[in-house]
Amino acid sequence: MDTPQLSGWLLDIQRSSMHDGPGIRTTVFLKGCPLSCKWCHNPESQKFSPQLAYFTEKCTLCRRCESVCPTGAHTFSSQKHSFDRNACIQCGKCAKACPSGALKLFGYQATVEEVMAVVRKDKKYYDASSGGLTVSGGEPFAQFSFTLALLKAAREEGIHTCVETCGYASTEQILTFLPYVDYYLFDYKLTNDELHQAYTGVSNQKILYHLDLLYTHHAKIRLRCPIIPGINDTPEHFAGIHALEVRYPDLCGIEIMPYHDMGKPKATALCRANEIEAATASQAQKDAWRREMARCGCSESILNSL
Amino acid sequence: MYSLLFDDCLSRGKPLFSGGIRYLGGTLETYGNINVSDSLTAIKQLVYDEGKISVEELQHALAQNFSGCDSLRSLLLEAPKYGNDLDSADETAARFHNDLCSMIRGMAERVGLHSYLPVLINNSMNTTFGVTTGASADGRLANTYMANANNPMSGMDKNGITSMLNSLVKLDTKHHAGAVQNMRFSKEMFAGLFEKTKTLLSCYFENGGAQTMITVLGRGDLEEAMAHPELYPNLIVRVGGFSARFVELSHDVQLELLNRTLY
Repeated sequence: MDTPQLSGWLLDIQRSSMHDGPGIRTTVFLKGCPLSCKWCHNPESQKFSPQLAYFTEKCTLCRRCESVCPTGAHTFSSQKHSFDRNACIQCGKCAKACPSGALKLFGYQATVEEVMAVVRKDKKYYDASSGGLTVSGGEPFAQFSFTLALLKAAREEGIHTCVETCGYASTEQILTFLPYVDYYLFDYKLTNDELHQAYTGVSNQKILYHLDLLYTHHAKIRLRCPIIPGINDTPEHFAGIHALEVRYPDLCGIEIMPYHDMGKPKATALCRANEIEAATASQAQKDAWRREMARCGCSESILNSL
Repeated sequence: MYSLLFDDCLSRGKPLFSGGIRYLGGTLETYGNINVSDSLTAIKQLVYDEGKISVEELQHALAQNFSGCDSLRSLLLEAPKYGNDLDSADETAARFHNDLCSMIRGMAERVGLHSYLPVLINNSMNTTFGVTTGASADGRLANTYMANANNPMSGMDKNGITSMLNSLVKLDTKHHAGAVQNMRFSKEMFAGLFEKTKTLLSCYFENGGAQTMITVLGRGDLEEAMAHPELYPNLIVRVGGFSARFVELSHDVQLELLNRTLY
């Protein structure tokens, strides 16, 4: 298949992104991730196939979904809207008919050229701000051929490329991507491998190996560390972050990302159990983390990112 | 007395507006331009290209102010809107802009002026006139505000600031005597990311932008955004290291953001 016609599963394309890498960027969110972090703030990005979300609180009981659904997945009785997820075929007709935004289909297909047609529209802004294209997710490396083609296409047009990754892919894939990625936003989630497996579904060994591999190849990497109350806000993990700072002095920064529970309504709407109790980190909690991180040796720049 | 300050008035012995001045120019303000172009875009797509709506259905719906025509109105609202860097809507807007400007310029002689140019500023008259204007085919309800000047219809630019700026520069500035381009930033964006904001605006001017009117929003505005989310689709807030559209956040999250200390 021609590269420009290669298609991938997307969640969204967000223009004017200010926080997904250097400068002003366009962020392409892909759908599907090999990890299943229990605190995931974009739970709609985990599955590789489209998903219908039902936001109960937004439903106005207008029953339009019921009239367009080909499988009878939406039923109404005594002012209550029931959605049978098993009957749903993710056709998205109800989401289109829903006037209140209570139903939303997450995930759509787009070709490399279709994505590039949007990306290239802000080329002047990228050039002026040292920005560019960021591929995020989900996990960009998981849609190997599509992401590779997209990054190559961007490069050919002189657009800076950034990938936001969990680092979990085959080593061969990571190396194949290497010449086409200008900047990595690399997640560091948990130092303790047993806990890493319990909370994300995979071991961190391969991830750490890839971090080392990229660093050895002089890749520009910014480490992003989500801190989730009660899960990884431990001296062990803070010391682990500090150890990486010492081991990799040429990182383009380490950024602490305190947990927020914005993903919870989406998880509920996707019928995905809220697997963690944690609430958005409070200021007091962040202050306590800051003290603990300082005690574990973390530098000022890490503390200031909190 | 005022005429004394202008060339030719004394030698001709005539006051300013009675043939005294050599070149007399004037301007004409226009309103609802973008509602017109968005309406034309919607009609082209839905009536002619896709055939989803008939002319009669549209006429009926507009006459009824969309009462009982919710799905038809949804179709109109979902049609491409100026301000999102979408070719269909922006090309219509640019074409209407050029046609309207040329028409006004061409009327100079008829109105007895040497130059006659449109002005697209509106202040708040787009609202004043809007409340006595019927429903329009862009999905706008009767007796409600119209788009301000040549800016996107309020709340219809949903594709990020760069898209909005790209749309703005598609309307050629050489045809008119002045326009105001509204831009509203959150404090987090404007102050917190000042360098990026500066680059954004420099780039807009390099691309052909002529003017900007900047509003920076603070906490009272978030309360407004909660009460009227449809007016704030592009209000981006930072939540724990992530960016989010304020209006897409759940009620509780919005309250939480609202109650934070504002420095």
